[in-house]
Amino acid sequence: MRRQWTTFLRILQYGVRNLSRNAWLTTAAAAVMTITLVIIASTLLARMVFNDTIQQVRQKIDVSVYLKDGIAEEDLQRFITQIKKVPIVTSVEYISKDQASLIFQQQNKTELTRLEALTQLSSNPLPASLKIKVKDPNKIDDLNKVISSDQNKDLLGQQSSNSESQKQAVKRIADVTQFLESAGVISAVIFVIISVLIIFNTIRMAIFNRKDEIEIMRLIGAEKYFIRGPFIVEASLYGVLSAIVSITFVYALLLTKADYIASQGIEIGGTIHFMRQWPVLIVLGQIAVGIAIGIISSLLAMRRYLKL
Amino acid sequence: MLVLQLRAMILLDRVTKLYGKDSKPALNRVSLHIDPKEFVILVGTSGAGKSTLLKILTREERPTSGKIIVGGIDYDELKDKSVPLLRRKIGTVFQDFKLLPQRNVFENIAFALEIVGMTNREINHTVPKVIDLVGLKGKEKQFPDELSGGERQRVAIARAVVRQPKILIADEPTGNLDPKHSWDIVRLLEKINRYGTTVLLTTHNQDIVNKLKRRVITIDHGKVIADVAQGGYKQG
Repeated sequence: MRRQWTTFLRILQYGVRNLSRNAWLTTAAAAVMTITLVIIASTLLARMVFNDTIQQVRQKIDVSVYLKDGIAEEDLQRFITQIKKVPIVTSVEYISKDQASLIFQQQNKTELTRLEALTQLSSNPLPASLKIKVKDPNKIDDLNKVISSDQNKDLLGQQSSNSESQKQAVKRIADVTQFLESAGVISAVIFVIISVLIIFNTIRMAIFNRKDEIEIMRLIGAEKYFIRGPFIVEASLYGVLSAIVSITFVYALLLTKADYIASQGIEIGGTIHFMRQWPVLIVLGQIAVGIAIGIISSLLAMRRYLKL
Repeated sequence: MLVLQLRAMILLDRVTKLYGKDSKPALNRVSLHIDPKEFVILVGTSGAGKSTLLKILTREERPTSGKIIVGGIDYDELKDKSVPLLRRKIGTVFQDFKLLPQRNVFENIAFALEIVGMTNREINHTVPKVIDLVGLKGKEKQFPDELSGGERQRVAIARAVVRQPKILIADEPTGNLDPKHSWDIVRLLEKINRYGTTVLLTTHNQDIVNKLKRRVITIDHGKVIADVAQGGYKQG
């Protein structure tokens, strides 16, 4: 057991020593892998941010149902109760004609022409309405059935919904998110391939530079794992170093720019909270990805160039 | 045969090696046995089959046919994964020394112990003794390019014997050395043999063979043509 532990530590030691032998090669390989890991981390975090943003926007979407003037209170209450029973409805707010007028004046306080037009009319032209908040504006069929049922259609004034433009906004955000996600995934895959090739080439050159040493090790009876092990350690260390640099960069960027991003209407709070709550998990995950890329590359290079 | 098997340190029984189906055999039904603690010299001209024989003993090559038993290990039953263990049991010295240039004398010798998992403490205890044995005390921190040819070969011998193998194979160890250093190396090999290690030395240095008066096995065109207890050698 002690001998095995000693051998394991020696393999680690040789791997670290090999890494430090060629600084330029190490730097170049680590730089490419760092970029790869930054892209992977950014893609995953961006996905979280955009999903949260879409969720946030969806919650703000409402359906407005305009009511005829002078409907009976009991009819109104029955209508509201039926609407509330629809599963996707989260809340229903009744806005009276007077409240509608106040809202109009508030929204148009700088539009003097519009305000004047409203005051010059003898009666309040603005209808009462129901402002209905839904979970998903794309699934309002059941709601529409209730609204336009025979029982309720006589209560309706001009039915319009400003949810349509918001639906379009959500769809646009979703489309952009999907595009960015796809672009992120494609970039990540491309850079993973590039990283694998760079590390592959680095290990290939290391094998070539050390072929005399490898030959001697083989002839004096070193086990295959003793010969291969340092190359795997070396490649893994590229992954570890790159992961630390990349995650530091991502954390620094997001945490310092969080306020600016949030001011652009992007919902980043949940992601920042996640990053603050699970830093160890995120770092370990990144290191695991880096090590995986390193090991795969080195195994491929050794399979091709290290015949024992 | 069974008695020979039990006694011999190295046993070859009708070993043949062919490179390619229609080529001349590099070894042609070679049979020999070497007892423990023997000092045997293998001679022959270039291309006679000496190197092939050694490569087969260290399992760098496989025989086309024939039986080989070394140190009690039957090569017919030897799996690939056990070859490193075999090589650790046989100390090998090469004509071109095969030292690691970026390691000093101590580290080159220690390397043979590192690969078997010895601790630094054990290494620090063992290596100085072997350095003393080969006469390199005081040169522990020097690197191969700071040593003479003879000194480099001493380092190689030290690395080969530091694990106290039962067999030491020296493949033309004096090939790159001048006469004085050549004799120093041969005397060192004799010293190691006196300690109980079986030594198999290949050379085509007539002078060394004739003065040593040891058992000489002569190989020519892949066949053993002579096996003399206190033999000589004349290059033809």
